[in-house]
Order: sequence, then C-alpha cells, then structure tokens
Amino acid sequence: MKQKFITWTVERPHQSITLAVLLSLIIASGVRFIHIEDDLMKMLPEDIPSRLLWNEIEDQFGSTEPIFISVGKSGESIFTPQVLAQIWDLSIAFEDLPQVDEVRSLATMNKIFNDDGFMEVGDLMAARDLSADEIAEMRRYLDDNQNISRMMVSRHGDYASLMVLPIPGTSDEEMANAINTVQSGIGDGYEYHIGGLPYVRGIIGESVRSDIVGLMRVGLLLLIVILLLNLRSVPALLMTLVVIVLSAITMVGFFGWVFILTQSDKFNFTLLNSNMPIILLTIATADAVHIITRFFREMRARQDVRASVVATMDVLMLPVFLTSITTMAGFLSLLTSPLGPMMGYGLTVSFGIAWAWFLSVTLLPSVMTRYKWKLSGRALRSAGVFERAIHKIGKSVLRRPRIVLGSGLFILLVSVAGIFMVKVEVNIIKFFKPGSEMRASMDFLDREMYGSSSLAFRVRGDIKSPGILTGMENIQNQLEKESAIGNTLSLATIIAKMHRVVMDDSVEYEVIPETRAKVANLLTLYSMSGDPDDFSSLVDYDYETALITANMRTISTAEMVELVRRLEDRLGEDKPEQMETELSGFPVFLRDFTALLVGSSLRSLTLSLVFVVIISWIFFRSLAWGLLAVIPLASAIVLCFGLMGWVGIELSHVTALLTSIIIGVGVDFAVHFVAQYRHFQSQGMAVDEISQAAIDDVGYPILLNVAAVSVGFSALLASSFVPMNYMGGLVIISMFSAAIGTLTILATVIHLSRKKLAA
Amino acid sequence: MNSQFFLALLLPLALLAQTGEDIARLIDERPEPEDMVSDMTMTLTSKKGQTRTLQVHSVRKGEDRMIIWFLAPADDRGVAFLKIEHADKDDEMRMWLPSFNKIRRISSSKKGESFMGSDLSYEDMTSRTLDEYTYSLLGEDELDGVAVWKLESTPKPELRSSYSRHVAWVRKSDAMILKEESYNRAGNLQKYRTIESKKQDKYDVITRMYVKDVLKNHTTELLFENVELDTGVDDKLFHERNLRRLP
Repeated sequence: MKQKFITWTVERPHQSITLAVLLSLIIASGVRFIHIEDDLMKMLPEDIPSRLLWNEIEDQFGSTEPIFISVGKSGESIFTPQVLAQIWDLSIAFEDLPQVDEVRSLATMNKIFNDDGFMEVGDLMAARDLSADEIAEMRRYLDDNQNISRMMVSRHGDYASLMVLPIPGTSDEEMANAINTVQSGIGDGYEYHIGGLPYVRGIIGESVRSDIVGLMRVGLLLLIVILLLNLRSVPALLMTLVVIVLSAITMVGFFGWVFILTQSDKFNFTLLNSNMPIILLTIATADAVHIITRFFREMRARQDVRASVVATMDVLMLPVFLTSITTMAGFLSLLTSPLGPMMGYGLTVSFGIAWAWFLSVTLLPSVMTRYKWKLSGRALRSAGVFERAIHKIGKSVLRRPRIVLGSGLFILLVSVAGIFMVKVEVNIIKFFKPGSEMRASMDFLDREMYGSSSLAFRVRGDIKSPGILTGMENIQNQLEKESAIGNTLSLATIIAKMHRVVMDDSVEYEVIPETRAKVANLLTLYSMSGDPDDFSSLVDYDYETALITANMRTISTAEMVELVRRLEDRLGEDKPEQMETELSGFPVFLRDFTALLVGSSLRSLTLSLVFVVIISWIFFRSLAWGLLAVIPLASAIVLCFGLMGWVGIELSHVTALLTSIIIGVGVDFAVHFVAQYRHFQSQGMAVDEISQAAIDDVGYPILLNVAAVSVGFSALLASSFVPMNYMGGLVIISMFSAAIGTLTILATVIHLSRKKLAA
Repeated sequence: MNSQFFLALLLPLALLAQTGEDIARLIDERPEPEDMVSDMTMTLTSKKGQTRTLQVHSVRKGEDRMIIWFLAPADDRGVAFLKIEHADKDDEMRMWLPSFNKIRRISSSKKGESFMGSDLSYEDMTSRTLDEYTYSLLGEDELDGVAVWKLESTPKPELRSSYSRHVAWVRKSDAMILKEESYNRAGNLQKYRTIESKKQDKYDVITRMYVKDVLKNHTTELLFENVELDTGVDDKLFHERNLRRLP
C-alpha cells in the first residue's frame, strides 16, 4: 500500500500535483467566507458563574463598565467657562450616540442640596455657558461632595472625567470607534486620555491583528533567509514554501467553509485563534524540511532523483504520518475546551496538519521527482553547516551520555521548581508596553482619575431597610480603604445625602435613616422631582436588588484575588443576615476565565501526552517506545513552564495558548527520532552505532527547523503588545526545549538502554 | 339675522376651523370645570415589564392648584404633595413626609423632569398657554373611525420647552385631543399619549390616559375614578397645613 502510493507520486507526478493543487485551491476558496470577529466578549464563555452574574447585572442595571474619557490641560484648572463648555459639548455628543446608554459627567450629574431649608434636586451644571459665580457655586458643591468630585474631577483639578456607559450588547469595537470619532470631531485644544475596559477591548483586536500581520511578514522573510542559507537551493526553498503556503491557505479556507456551513461562533476568526497560521507554519515547515533534507542525503548517496525520492518517502512516510496524527490528536483535545473559538481552533488546526501531511506526501515528492536537479549543485554535493554541526553534537552527547543525561535531568529539576513559581495573571494594562499611548492613558486614569476599570457588588434583600443600606455603606467603606479603589457609589450614598438635606443640611444626618418608612419617604420625595431612570443603575424597580459600583485602577489577577479575600474576611461579621452580596465585573470574570483556560490548556497537554504514548505504542508495537517518545514533549513542557516561572513570565489567556505550539513541535521531533532509530534497528545496524546515526539523520532537520522557525518568530519580539513578545520568545524557547529534549535526553536515554531496547 | 348666520349654525364645527390656530383656540375654549376631585391609580411599567402601582386622592382647582394625598402602596401612604403655579415666578411645590414629620419644598426648575416618577413631566402636566406655541394644521385623518384634525404645535423659543413639537389628533366634533405625540429637541419621537374620556355634566372628563416614553420603553397608565366636578373646593384647601390631613 505504502509502496504503491509512493510509486504513484513518483510515476504519475502530474496526477499527484494536479490533485493536490486543485483540492487545495477548492478548499482555500472558502477564505472569502472567513468571518472576523473582534468582539472579545463573544469569544468568552457564557456559562461560567461570574459571566452569568455579570450578564444578569448588565441586564438589570445596564452596563457597569464605563469608558473613561478625561479632558483638560495639565496644571490648568478645569473650572473655566471654556473647559466646562467643552465638557458640555462632549457630553451631548456622546449622549447622542446610538450605542450609548448613559453619560456621567459634570454636565449630566444631578445635585441634591439644601436651599434655604428646602430640598432641591437640580442640575449640577445648569447650562453650557456658566458665569464666574455659577462656576464658583459648582466648585463649592463639589468640595462638599467628595464622592461626586472624585468621580468627575482629577486629583489636581486639571482634568474632568466623562464616563460613557454603552448599551449592553454593543460591540466594543463599534463603541470605541464611535468615541474616537466624537473626540476627534470636538476635541481640539485639550489633552485627552481614553481608557476603560470596553475601549481597550474595542481597539485591541484590530491593533493586534495588524501588528501580527506586519510582523509575520518580516518573520516569514527571516524564515526564508535561514532556510535558503541552509538548504542552499532555491528550488528546494520554493518547494518548502509551496507546502507551507498551500497548507496555510487551505486551512484558512476550511475555516471559512465550516463557518459558512455551520454559522457557528466557534468558527469566527478571533484574537484567540489568530495564531493558527503561525502554528501551522511550524508544523508544515517541519514536515517539508525533514523530507527535503533527507532527499538531499539520499541524492548524495544515490545520484538518482526517482530512487532518492522513493527511498526518502519509504523512510519518512511513517514518521510524518505519526507526527501528524499525534499532533492532530493533541489539537483535537481542544474540543473539550470551555471556549467555543478554541474548539473551532482545535478542529481547524487539526485539518491544517492533515493537509500539510497530505501535501508533504503527494505534492512534495511529485514536484521533487519532476524537477531537474543539478547534481553539481552545492546542496547535493556537500553537507551544510547544520548537518556537519549535528554530527559533532551527536558525538559529544554520546561520548558522555550519563553526564549529558544527568545535566538534562538537573535542568529539568530546576525547571520543575520554576513551574511552582508560574503566576496565573491577567492585567490588561500589561498587554501594552510602558510608553505606548494606551498604557500611558490607562496609567494616567489610574493615577489621576481614581481608576480605569470597575467592580460591581450586587446586593439582594429589602433595599429600603436601614439594615441593608447600612450593610451597603459598610461594603463601600471597606472598599474605599483599599488603595486600588478610587470611589464607590450606591443608593445608600444618595439616601444618606438626601437624609442630610431633609434634616436641614446637618452633617450628622448624612447617615442612613433609622426607619424603613423614612427611607421610603426620601425615595418618594426624590421621585417627585427626579427622573424615574435616575436610580435605574443603582436599584431595581422593586427595591429588591441594588448595585454598588466602584472605580478601581487596573490590578492584576493576584491582587484581585487578594482584594476579594480581604473584603470577604472583613464583611463576614458585619453583614446583615438578610443581605446577600455577590462580586462582579470584568476583572472578576477574567480571573475565572483565565483559570478555566489554563485548566483547559493543561488538560489538552496531558491528553496529548497520553495520545503520544498510545499512538507510538500502537505503531512501534512497544509500550517502552511509546513512553520514550513522550520524553521530549514532557521535557519541553517542563522546561518552558519552568523558565516562565523563573523569568517571571505570567501565564495569561494569551500565553496559555503556547501549549499548542509545544505539542506541535514536541511530538514531531520525538517521533522522527524514534522512527529513525527503529528504522536503523530494523536494517540490522550495529546497536552502538544507531544512536549516532539517528542523531545525524534526524538532528539536521530538527536543528534547521528550530533555527528557521525561531528566527522567524523572533520578529514577534518587536511587537508593541507584550503578550506577542512573550509568544515569540516562548515559541523559540519551546522549539529549543523540544530539540534539546530529543537530541540530549531522549537520545541518551535510548543510548543508555540500547541493549535492552535491542532485545 | 342674515343668511351667513344661519349657515354658520347649520355647518358643523369642522368647517369653521380652517387653520391650526383656529383649532388650537377651539381646544383652549373647551369648557373646563372650576375644580375636580378624583381618585387616581397610576401604574408604571418598566422596559422589563416590572410594574409599580400608586393610588392617590387628588383635588384640583383651576389650572394652577393641585393637592395630592398618597393612599398606596403602604410605604407611601400619608405622603402628600401640593403644587401652586405662578405666572410670574417659579411654581411652589411642597411635600409632606409623615415619617420625618416635616414639609419639604422640592425643585420646580426642571420642566422636563418626571412627575411622580411617571412618564409625564411637569411640562406635560402644565396647561399650555395659547400664544406660547405656533400651530399648523397637518391635515385631516381618522382615528379609530373618528374624524380628526392633525394639529402640530411648536413651542416658541422663549418657552424653553423640552420638546421641539407636538402632533395631536383632535376630534373634530368637540375639539377633544384623543392622542398626542411629543418630539424631543433632537426631533425624535420621545413619547405619545392616548386619552379616553366620558361626558360628565357638560365636561369631557378623562377616564384613562396611557403614556409611553418610546425612548426609555417605559409606560404609565392613569385611571381616574370617583370624579366629582365643580364641588366648590375652597381655596384654603391648598395650604401646606392640609397636607398632613389624609382625607
């Protein structure tokens, strides 16, 4: 069967090439159906408790996540007619946006105050153009009401904040674009700092995509240069590139076809799966490089194209097939992921791997057969640098296998310690490099404006009851003790304020009234002059559920976990019995989501290890060989995660995707090595020589693959997004880890056990 | 008496009103009771379908004086509200808060603000003065089989209205408004109201008003019962000391 297939590719190259190209192009035509989805929220699971709670809160109270826009000039007071008029104009323009639910600014806020012994509810800013007296009165009110001032005015009084709340369900990208359009239309002459999670989420998708596309072009160019320098043959380079490019576009086309046929969100092209072409690049390069370098060696020995192609494919058909199915199995394990897009990602990359295999065993040998190679060419005449280097490396490794193995195991042990230091961490600010515009804006908002993200506490109970309202005040007091929290707002704040105003503006009455009837009276009093929607973001219609919102600076997941723990400790004793509280917000959700994603990635890694053992066991007909084949993958995982721990690279929802790449390369190198070793065994080679021969044979394509892909991925180190830098760095590390795992640990373990394995 | 006089007597009201201003004048000249005592049930419905019901007893005298006592829900029972409009200064609005044993004045500066948390604003509750608007007859129409004029009223700038215009469906037979749409300053439909009435004595008395704020998707239904007209309400009733006396 195998021989028949190989003979067909060599004897009927036209058929093979036509079939491969035609099928690829048909599938690739699905690329026009690709659906790009930059809305981060649509990628995230809907069914984890913190997301469900968050959705419920948004459904009930509207969005709790504002976009923060600060406007002003450093060192100049905002309390001038010009700046206040600008705030007024911006507020109206933002309110007029169809995506906007509410704007909170100096121009839209109400004030509750005592005027000559009577309670008044009025506009904090009554008109666009204010007189000096009106401005002075407004300043006095803000000085007396720090909770409003802290929400609206910067610490030094030189910037004002506008909080824009989107209508729930509005796409972040659409919202961010609308904000930018308004700001650029009105915003002349002032400094602006825009932040808040919906805004960051809205701009990050497109920014990352354009960044990654630009860098991948550079990366691909570097990969081409490395391949060319080592293969020393333009035709060989082009053949490799044809396999890579056809595999990649066929995979992307497949993605488009599946989307159009299923209309499933799982097949949206999102930030999470935008590294699909990169993954496939590494895998397709590996297959093609193994075949071409092997072909060159065969050519040097046989001097006959057809015979060399047949010999190459005869040896490599099984390992290329095995690496493909084990890697596919690894990616298919993502079908168990809690994230819809990751399921689509697993299936699609698996298809891409299958197609790379198909092209490597049909198109590539046929093209190699058809091409009229010059036997005098440098590539066919002599071994390249890596080829010579690997022989020396192999000799060194096998001369002192125990020392090499011991050193390897020692490094692994050190790495294991590092794994325990890996932090699961998502701090969206850290996505941007220090000095970048976005980071500067977020830092500014955190530093000067009391925060750029928000938390929400949902409180359930009889909200008009003084006990519950006092409980809410306690939560706010505890929150405000936290350095990360800027200010808080709830119905309790307003009730206390109204109480003071009704009681002749006596400060001592700025507390929750002692009876429920008084609370009810205050609310009725407010309803006589306020809008029914005034409290809609703070309490539900039946006064059974209320919300406490807090502005906070963007903090890390670890800080978040610690903050929640402290709050729960402090609130535990003071909380009224009939009061239920639940914490929500994007940071809380992100904490849970990251844990879920990391869990899913680790599960996928574990399943991959199991698949490698099982598949190798079946194909090599030996459990021992199955277990050996898993060594490079396991050591690559340990080395990579250990290094992350030691260096301080955090495991986030972006770096967790790295596990896929480790699977891809870790499996590939090991299976090639084991297959080649077994091939030499079956040919009756002397036991003491097999290890060196296997290293010579497989080491070169492994080194070439590592060099080419690593140099290509080094382009990502220049990205302006920190996770992309990590991604680039970690791909390189995982490539080296897998190569070292194969050529040192696996090689020495096999070498030291060669007699047992030969038995 | 000439022939024109007899013709005028014979022609229906409709043919006499030719311009928007004529129709507005007809509306303005409709007979209104001197005073009205009623029980009102107000049902507010949020965009999520949650409802809140208030019951009040109200007494009005003329267009400018009103006193309301809250009967239900239990939380609000005893709260009372007094409003006296002035042509030359801000309206007086006072509220009795039984739990605090205090009367408190509340702001009247924002005409566009909601009245009692409903979809009606204080501006909606205030009677319109004829010369504060310009009028335009948009045409004739039928509403539920009844012949109507479509009348557009545009507030003059000095009124500082929160609306840009209103369009009313006015019954031709008696100049009673059956439906009205109100547009916000941006020119978008903000709310509409429909009115049902019955004849009581010589007046058309509103029995049900339904208001929907289409922008907020929030509705208010007002039902009037036990209506008594021209009972000779004393001016002295509209004093803050009477707020404490739940009838």
